[in-house]
Amino acid sequence: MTLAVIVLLAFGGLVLALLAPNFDDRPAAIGAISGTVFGATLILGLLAAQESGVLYGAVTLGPLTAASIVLLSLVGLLVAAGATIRGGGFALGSGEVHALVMWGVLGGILLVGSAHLLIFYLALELSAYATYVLVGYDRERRFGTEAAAKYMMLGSVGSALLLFGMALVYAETGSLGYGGIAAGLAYQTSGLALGGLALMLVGLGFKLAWVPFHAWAPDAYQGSFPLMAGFLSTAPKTALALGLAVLLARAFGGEGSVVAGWIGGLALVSVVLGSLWALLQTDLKRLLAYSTIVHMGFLGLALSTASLTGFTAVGYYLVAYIVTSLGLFFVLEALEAGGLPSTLEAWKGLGRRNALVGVLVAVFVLSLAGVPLLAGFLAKLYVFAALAQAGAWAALVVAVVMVVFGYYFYFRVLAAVFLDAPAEEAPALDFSPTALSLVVLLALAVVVLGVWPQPVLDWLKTAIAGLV
Amino acid sequence: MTLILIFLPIVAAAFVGLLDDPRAEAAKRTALGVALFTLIASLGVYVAYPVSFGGFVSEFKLAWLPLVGSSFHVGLDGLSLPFIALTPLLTAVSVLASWRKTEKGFFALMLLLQGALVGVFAALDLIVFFVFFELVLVPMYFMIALWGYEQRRYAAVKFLIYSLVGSVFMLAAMLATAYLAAPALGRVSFDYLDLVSVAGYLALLPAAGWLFWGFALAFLIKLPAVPLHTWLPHAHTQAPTAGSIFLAGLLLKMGGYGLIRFNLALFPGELERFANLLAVVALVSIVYGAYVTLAQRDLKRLIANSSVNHMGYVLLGIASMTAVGLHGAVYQMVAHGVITGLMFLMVGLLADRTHTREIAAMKGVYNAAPILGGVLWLALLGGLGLPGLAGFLGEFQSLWGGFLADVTRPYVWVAVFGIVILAGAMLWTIQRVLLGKAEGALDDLNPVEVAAAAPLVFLAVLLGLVPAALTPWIDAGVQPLLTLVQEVLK
Repeated sequence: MTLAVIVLLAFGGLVLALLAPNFDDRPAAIGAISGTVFGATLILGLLAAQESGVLYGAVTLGPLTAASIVLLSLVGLLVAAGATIRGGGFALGSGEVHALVMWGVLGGILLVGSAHLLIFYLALELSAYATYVLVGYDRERRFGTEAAAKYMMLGSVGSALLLFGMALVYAETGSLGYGGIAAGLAYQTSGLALGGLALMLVGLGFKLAWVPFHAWAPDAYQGSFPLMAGFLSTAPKTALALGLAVLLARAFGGEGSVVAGWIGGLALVSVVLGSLWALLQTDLKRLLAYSTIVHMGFLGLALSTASLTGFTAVGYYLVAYIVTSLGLFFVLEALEAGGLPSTLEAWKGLGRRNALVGVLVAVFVLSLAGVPLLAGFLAKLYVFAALAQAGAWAALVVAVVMVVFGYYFYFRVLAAVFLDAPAEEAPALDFSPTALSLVVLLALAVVVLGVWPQPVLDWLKTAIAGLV
Repeated sequence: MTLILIFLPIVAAAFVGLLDDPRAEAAKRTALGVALFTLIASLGVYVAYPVSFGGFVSEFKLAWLPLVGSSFHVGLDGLSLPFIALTPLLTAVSVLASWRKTEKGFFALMLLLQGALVGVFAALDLIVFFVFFELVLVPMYFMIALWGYEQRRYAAVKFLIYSLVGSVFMLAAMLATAYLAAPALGRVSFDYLDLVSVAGYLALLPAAGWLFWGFALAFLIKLPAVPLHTWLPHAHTQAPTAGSIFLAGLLLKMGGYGLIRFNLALFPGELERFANLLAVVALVSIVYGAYVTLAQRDLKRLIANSSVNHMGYVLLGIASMTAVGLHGAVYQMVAHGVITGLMFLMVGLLADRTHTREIAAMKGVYNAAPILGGVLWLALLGGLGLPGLAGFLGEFQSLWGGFLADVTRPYVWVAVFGIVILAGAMLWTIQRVLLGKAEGALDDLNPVEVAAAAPLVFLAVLLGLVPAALTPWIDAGVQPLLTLVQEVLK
């Protein structure tokens, strides 16, 4: 099944990219093809949970890979649907967008499934290159090219450091397979190996946008379509977080290892500084970029415990984050397509111009802030529970305090939407029906996940149980 | 039954929010209907409660978050029932007080607030308690920020941040408590009854002091106790009338209730250890609160500050850890909910008419509008603790309880000055606002407003004259806690 998914996505993307020019005037048709492919991979992913073994010594088959297929296909499906919000399609053609999303998703799946550092690296680059192009896809947009260039430059630095770190780890352990590395690191951890691990972590830190390697994120978000920013904030992050969990558990020594401690440190710094910087933002996409940084920090805190609770918390956090973040970015996409820029200034009085959109925005923003009965609250609760279980009291206290700062900057958005008066001439706001149905669906998912998380948790727990 | 009391208002809030109802005619009627229905239902539970046996009734438990060992566990006992019944009553009063509002959102928020508050008082699981505790903030924030007076944004944000700071530390303390208690229980559980059963083990934890303060901080902010009270004058003053009634009548009670429910029951040893400090805080709240009340020029702010004084008695009663003191603390909370709710109602209606809250700009209200003036008169007298009205019994028992305990006795002597100062403030207010010759004509209360005030007037008198309407319930709630506390302290 996993093999079928890989083939389907690789060739699906190829076909779409080749056919694309013929369908430029019919973005909905190409969106439907793309959606069908992702629907198929999602079902295959559900079936793939029964598999076991290793594919060509490179890709681990099993419930976790299957879970990543399901999650990433879901993101792909939603983004494919979201691409139709912009009725006229994208100026440079829609087919390429779908093809790149498909390859980005494929890279992500391979990243999680990888059992070998080379595959890990190739998968990471595949998904990274897809997103480099997607970020810079709108050449006409102000900051668009700058964003893509910055993102690619810093991404390359991250990749280079990662590669160098891999080389050092290889020099020490003599293996690029996860099992071999774990065995090699088990006996002695020399300075060389530690240096290699540190470099690898820095490289991954760039990709995950952990502070202090986050500088590209706000620019990349600001300069791209909200839809692409949404894709960027979910798919690669999901893949990297799960991939790092696999690396940590299978290669780096898991619970209590040196790397786990470093991850915790980086994550805590991201939570603290990200929350503080977010207070200063006035552009919504930049604010959401810092919000992503903070969320990746919370995720990293759960990762660093390397326990079953911690990894399950990571999984749930990702699910909650996917539906919440994509929902909010879809709203931005629909509003930008309608000519409303994504700034706090422009959003003033949004709730009065269109009450339903205001309420939907409130659901997503409150979920990001972590208000109870929404998915975001339980996500944070599980992270805190994992920290408490691991006895990381200092990290727990710092993290809960930063939640207050989070509330403050998320409530600034809500204050603009509901409390500020709209500009004098602002008319009632139109919202595309496609976007509305999608966004309502995601908002319902946020509420259902927040009230009744058990089915998703059970599924995640079985997927993750093999790691610890 | 508990589920209906919690979720019917929440579902109704969603329903009201979705109504196509530009003038909020249907919304306010729905809100009133739901509030009255839940009021009757909660009174039914209240009356049917077996006061001689105690314990929890209408319990409901459902595995909710097994991953962290939390279940959706709610139930009602003598400690929570008075507040469970007070919540829909004050909701109904607030709806009537806001009868002229034309935005359906306002009524939806009120219903949401009602459901969340009942959830707070009914929760028997730490996480569930936290969920509702937080959920209360969202409607309250919007109620102040959207419908408040001129400085509403500032007041709303200040309220939100103070509350959040408290609640995040409480969340950390809850997690720590559950995971540290796990060895004694054999599993991680956030269930209140589970944790109470290992209170003896919790008392021996080296971190017990930290856990105690994690909870206490949230509740002292909510109560509020000096010096954590500075959000209160702004929030109460700027909130719309209904918001003030909710804030004073119910949100402050979450603090006192939480202190008894969690700090006393889970960490009695720590409460005993810090009783001296808490008593000092209580004393400062009583005296300073009364003194500040004396200095106010804004009528709403005056009442807000008198709440600081009133809640000081609650804290003093709790710090005494005696049966009388705890009893008095709960009695005082209910009485304060009724009387201060009434004060805010009357002042809100008065401010709507005079378009000012300046005390100096009001004169002779009693002459101009005898019913409004009369009810406000009664409420202000209740606020100063006049015997025969509900507030007296609460204050008296709290002080008497404080007198019975060695640790709080010296403070009671000083606290008495608080009564004198507050009485002065209240009487002076009556003189300035109600007495004298009316300068202009004032509309008296209309039938809807009379209907809003009537139940509170009735309760203020009833609880002042017939304590048996409340005392057995409080006893049934407090006595088992005290028995437990004595066991743990041994």
